[in-house]
Amino acid sequence: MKAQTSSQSGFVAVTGRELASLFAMPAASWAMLVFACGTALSAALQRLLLEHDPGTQRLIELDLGEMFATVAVVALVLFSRKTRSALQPIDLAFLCVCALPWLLPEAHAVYAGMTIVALWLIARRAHDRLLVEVGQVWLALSLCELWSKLAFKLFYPLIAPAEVAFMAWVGRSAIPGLYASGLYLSGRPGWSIVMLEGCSAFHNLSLAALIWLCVLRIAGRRATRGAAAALAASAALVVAINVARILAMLPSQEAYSFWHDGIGSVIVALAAATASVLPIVVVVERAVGSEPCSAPPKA
Amino acid sequence: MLGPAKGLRPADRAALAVLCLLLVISVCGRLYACCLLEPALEPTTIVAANADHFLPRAEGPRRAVPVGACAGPVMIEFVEPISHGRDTLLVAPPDQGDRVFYVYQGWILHDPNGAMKLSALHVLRRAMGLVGLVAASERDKLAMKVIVPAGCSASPNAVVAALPGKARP
Repeated sequence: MKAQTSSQSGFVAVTGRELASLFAMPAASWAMLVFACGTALSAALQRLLLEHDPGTQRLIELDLGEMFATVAVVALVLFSRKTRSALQPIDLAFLCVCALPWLLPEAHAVYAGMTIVALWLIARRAHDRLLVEVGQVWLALSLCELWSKLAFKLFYPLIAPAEVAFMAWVGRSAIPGLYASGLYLSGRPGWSIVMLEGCSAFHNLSLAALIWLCVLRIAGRRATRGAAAALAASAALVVAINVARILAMLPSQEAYSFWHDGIGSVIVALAAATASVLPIVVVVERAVGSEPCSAPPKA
Repeated sequence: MLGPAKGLRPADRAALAVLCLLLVISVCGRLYACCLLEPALEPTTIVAANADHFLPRAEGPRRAVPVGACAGPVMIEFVEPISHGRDTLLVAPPDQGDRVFYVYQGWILHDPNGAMKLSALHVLRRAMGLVGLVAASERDKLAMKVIVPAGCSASPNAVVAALPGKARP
């Protein structure tokens, strides 16, 4: 076992010197931070207006992706260990134009602007690793918060029945006589549940992918084969947790209330969040632990 | 490590100022909408086949309407035009042999992918409403799900033309 200093940790250790340097960084970096935080804040505020009682489970799921993405961008911008070029005036103009959706009364629309900025940075600033990585995080966040939800809504008649059929296939080993028809799942006569958008694992999968990318970026790691395996493990766990939750609703009205609206839904949300975070964190920490000791980088 | 602080260019200062201003306006606007504006009322009517054709939703979520060409009544349900929330009507399976089509904002969607086209149209209308191309009140209009009983060969256009509630002011 190798001893580790704080600088060897996979995650960024903030020193007093780095904190002090925050106030001396170029305004272009501040512009990126304001754009990242502003988009998340604008969307979160509008969402809270739309859903006056979103419930604890929804709050956990909705805010987790934005939180990870914001932390990842902050980590990239503030603690990057490479010399970076400032944003060009055209990049800054793009940031400002794409921030205009903050004024729209629609939580999802703000991520349309973020998508355009992300694609711009990835395509036109390919030589600047920092800007590309920030663009990747923003693109993943946009996919999670806007485009995957939109795709699910549009293709709901195709996706949801397939998911219900998969649940029935898995559940028949535990619940004999489990019956699926379209969006309806029934474990006994006279009682069935119908699968709506919130019951699907589709969004949880895109959230797991976003968290996976953010953890890699926060740790300053590349996507390796081990990281890909961690993503696959997270996806499998998220789907398994969701299937178990749906099947647990089937026995009775009380079971449904517990797992759909009660403390059970909170437990599921926390379990899914843990399943999204833990595998990639373990992979990152193992990779750091297996690296040879080296001197901490000079400030 | 971060590089040395660079001199601020006018573009940097301007971008930062614009972003901060937009953020302040966004936060203030959302707080204003939350605290001071009245909540939107639930839509009560729906535009069907054309601009003169309205049906009131207040008469119930499901209506049986006799149509001359059919032996049994045609069932009409008012549904959210996109599959979300707790409105399960959009996905409720019809009986064996029934035909289902949707009427939304003058469109009659009667092919097997009608539900998906309905969602796409709704998303498009909402996007147009956000940028002011359609009135805000138009964005939340419901769609009409029409279930034609098995054995009735009337075309969707003929069914829609036979629906009551025409020419409401």
